[in-house]
Amino acid sequence: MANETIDSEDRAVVERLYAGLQRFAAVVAPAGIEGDDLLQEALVRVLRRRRLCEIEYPSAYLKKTIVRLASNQRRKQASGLRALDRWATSHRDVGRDTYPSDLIDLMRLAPGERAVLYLAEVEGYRFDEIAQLLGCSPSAARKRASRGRKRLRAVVTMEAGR
Amino acid sequence: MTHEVKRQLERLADQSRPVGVDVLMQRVERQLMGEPTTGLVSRKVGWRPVLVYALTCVVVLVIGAGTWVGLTRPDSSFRRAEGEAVDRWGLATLDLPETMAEVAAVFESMPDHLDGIPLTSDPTGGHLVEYGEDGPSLIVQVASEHLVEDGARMTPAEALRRMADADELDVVGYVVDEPVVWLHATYAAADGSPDTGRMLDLGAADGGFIFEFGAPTTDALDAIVAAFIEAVAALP
Repeated sequence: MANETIDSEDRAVVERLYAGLQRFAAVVAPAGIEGDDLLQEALVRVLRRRRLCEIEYPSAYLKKTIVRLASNQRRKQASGLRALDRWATSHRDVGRDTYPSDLIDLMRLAPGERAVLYLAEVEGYRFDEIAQLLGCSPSAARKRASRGRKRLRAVVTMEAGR
Repeated sequence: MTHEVKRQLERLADQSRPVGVDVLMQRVERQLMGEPTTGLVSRKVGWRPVLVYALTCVVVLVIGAGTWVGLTRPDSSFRRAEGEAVDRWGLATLDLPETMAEVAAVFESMPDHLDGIPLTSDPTGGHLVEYGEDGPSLIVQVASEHLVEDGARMTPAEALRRMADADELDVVGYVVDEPVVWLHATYAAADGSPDTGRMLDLGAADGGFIFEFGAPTTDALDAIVAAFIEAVAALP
């Protein structure tokens, strides 16, 4: 972007897509990170390179960016420097404890798995469409969904047997 | 089962507290203009609270547990675990990049594939080099933003010593009082998932950068560290 501000056309795109993207980001975001923060970062990354109104499928583009950011963020959380951050973070009202107990298992899935499950189960996309949206092969999308379901099923089965 | 997954996903989406599109756009604009705002960037926790924590711990240890420190802290600058050899990469003699331009040059000369895994990040500019996307990935990134907070600077040596003492990592080995400092550890994902991996943090003792390597296995870590060393050696 030349002047680093958002013009009315791009603003209109965001207004149109906000509700759906916000929910998507909320599902994909790693523990302790707000969906809006992830969406904000995705918008900044995209707008630094190009205008939203010039992108053919801005929703898909932003969703792909959100998933990548969420994956990077999760890796950072897992790494050593974040271990120190977690100490400080534990003094604030963020993190796993803010999620109801039945959602913690869902939060254990990788962002990419949650993204595929959300797009398939909630938004009703087919796997070939999800593959296009997220920039992976249909078999990879299917694999992510299957892996996610399998992990959740294991938990549900285990809890039912208690 | 499908219905239950859908219900959980919808509940997760409902858990969030949207700030609204107007507030979001204001934040985006502020961030684009380089002004302070909230979001992922400002959520990074700086070193100040860690410094305070570290100093508090030091005071407590010195005053109340001096004997414990003497008994449990090794005299040498590294410790071994599980019989693994330390510094098998030859890090001690590494001439690390000192400027962002040099870092960028190193990152940009990393190979397109590593152990058959393709490069998936754009290394231009030098902040992150990542191999693989769907499965376990190998990364090397600059973590220098953690070293400065409101003007208070922590050297890589100080930062890694702090990490070695943090008890949150399973430390395999470290060196923090040589010209090149490093810490090798295993980690578990913060969100409780079963993912684990290997990490190496590396820097010049008084330099401006910590290079952080992450990989799912020791072999993969060795591969990305070796590629980095080769790229560093090729610096003019």
